[in-house]
Amino acid sequence: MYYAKHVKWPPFRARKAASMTLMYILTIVVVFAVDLPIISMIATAFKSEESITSSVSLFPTASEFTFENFLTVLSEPEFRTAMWNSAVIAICTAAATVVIASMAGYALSRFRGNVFVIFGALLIITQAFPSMLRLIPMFRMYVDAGLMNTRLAVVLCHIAQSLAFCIMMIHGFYDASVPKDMEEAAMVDGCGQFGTYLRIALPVSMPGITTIAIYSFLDSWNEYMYANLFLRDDALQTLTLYVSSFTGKSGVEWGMLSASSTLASLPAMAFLLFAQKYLIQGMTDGAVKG
Amino acid sequence: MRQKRHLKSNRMGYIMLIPAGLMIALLILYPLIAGICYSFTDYSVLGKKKVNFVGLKNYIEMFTTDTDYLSVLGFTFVLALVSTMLAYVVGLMIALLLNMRMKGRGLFRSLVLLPWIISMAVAAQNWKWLLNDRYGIINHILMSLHLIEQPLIFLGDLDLVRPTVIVISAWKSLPFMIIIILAALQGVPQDQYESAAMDGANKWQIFRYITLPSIKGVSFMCIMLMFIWSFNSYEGIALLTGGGPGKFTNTLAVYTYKMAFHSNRLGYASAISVVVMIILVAFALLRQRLSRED
Repeated sequence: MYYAKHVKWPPFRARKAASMTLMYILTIVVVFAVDLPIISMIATAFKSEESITSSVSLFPTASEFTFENFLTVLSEPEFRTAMWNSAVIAICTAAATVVIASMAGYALSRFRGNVFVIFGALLIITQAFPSMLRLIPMFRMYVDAGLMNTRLAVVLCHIAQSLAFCIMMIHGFYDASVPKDMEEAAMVDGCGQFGTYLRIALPVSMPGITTIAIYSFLDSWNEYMYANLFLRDDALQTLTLYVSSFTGKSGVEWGMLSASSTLASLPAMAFLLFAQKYLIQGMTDGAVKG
Repeated sequence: MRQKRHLKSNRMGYIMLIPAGLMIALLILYPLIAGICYSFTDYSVLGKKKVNFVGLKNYIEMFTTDTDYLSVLGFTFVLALVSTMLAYVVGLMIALLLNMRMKGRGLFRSLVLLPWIISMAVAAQNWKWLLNDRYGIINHILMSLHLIEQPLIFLGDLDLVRPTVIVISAWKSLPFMIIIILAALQGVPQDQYESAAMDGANKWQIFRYITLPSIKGVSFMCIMLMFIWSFNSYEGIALLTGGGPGKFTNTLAVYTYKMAFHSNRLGYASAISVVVMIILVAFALLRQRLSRED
């Protein structure tokens, strides 16, 4: 019995090792294929403009390798303005969304009544409507209000875009993870309803708040349509507009394009590295409730 | 006494809803209703002309004299359906691969997320670079494998442009599919696999009779979500081809945008959007009914 087991073991192990290796190779190939445009973007960013148009290769050779594109892009005033605009718009969007959504989500989670039921239903229903239909009256509204060519116009659109999802998401969070007896104790201690929300519910649901902050930030940072329609002035353009302005003209500077694309993708990559679980939480929750 | 306390407690709830309620009323509900109203008018150049009520004229035009509309609607359907199915099938395969026990699974999972969290503006530009006819790596590989003689102009060739944008659209939804299916796969109880293996089921049988039925609900849901998302999406096509060459890759969103902001036919563009809304609401209802049955 022991002997038989002993004899059978090594070949099994070898077979397992072989299939493991195959699995790793397959996974790496798949991940490489999925990320090819991004890999190519980063690799091209480190190639000089001359070597990009003289030889075709994915990665730069040691002699081609250069930081030149990044230095040029970073010294461009247009790029810096675009990065500043994107940052202002995304940070304002995220801050406003967090404040508005965390309050509304708390109200939906803790209070009972028709108003709250209708509000919750409205959130879900409006999600299914095409944004194109809203775009035309919104355009008209902004023209009338003198908000054309202002960052505020874009911020408002971005808040409206991520608000429903963020409310639903943080609503679920309050339901699941804020202990009701802790709130009741605070209430008994004379905290008041708003005080309870501020001192108990908010701190306990920090992971949820982080998730909606990241979600609304990235959604705004990556957005193109509203920015393109409402920001006609070059001094107001965002990074997505800056990056997409490269290909319209003849003689595309691919190195500069890749470098600015890479820089524009840095926040997303940073969140992926340091806050992956929040991103995935946001995606899975969106699928379940959306 | 209790009634009074209840009222008092709800008042704080209403107050907390005010900011969100204002935003939604002003930026979602009002434009939605105004858009529906515009669709019955000949609303055009901003602020210059008197707006006339035209009844159903826009809707009639859409299905009669507008020769582009039906083909745009058709392509939007094909794009949304094919790219979603493609993303689902490939996503399921990748999710099965990433569900296996191996070191660095978390890292691989993060890496396949990249296309989802990167701006479509960035993605579109870098796809153009990959597909470039002179310096693009994809043409280079195809030529060195002697699969083609001349470089292909993926986004300019009438035979190639539609499949190309469908594949890129699928690529964009792929990470979503992978992550959601992966989460569902990890929820399948391990003992079901074990008892099936004990009963002598082979890998295909386990997949067919245990894995697939357990992820059926989630699969259906993410296919629906991605279908609606692709059906609605503007940025991908607008940034890759702008609807071109010619009108060849116009989708409803791009077509509506051009109608509104290039041709200044705001009333007509609103009517097109209302039809899209009706289609989407029908889908949402279908989705709800089917998910209730599960």
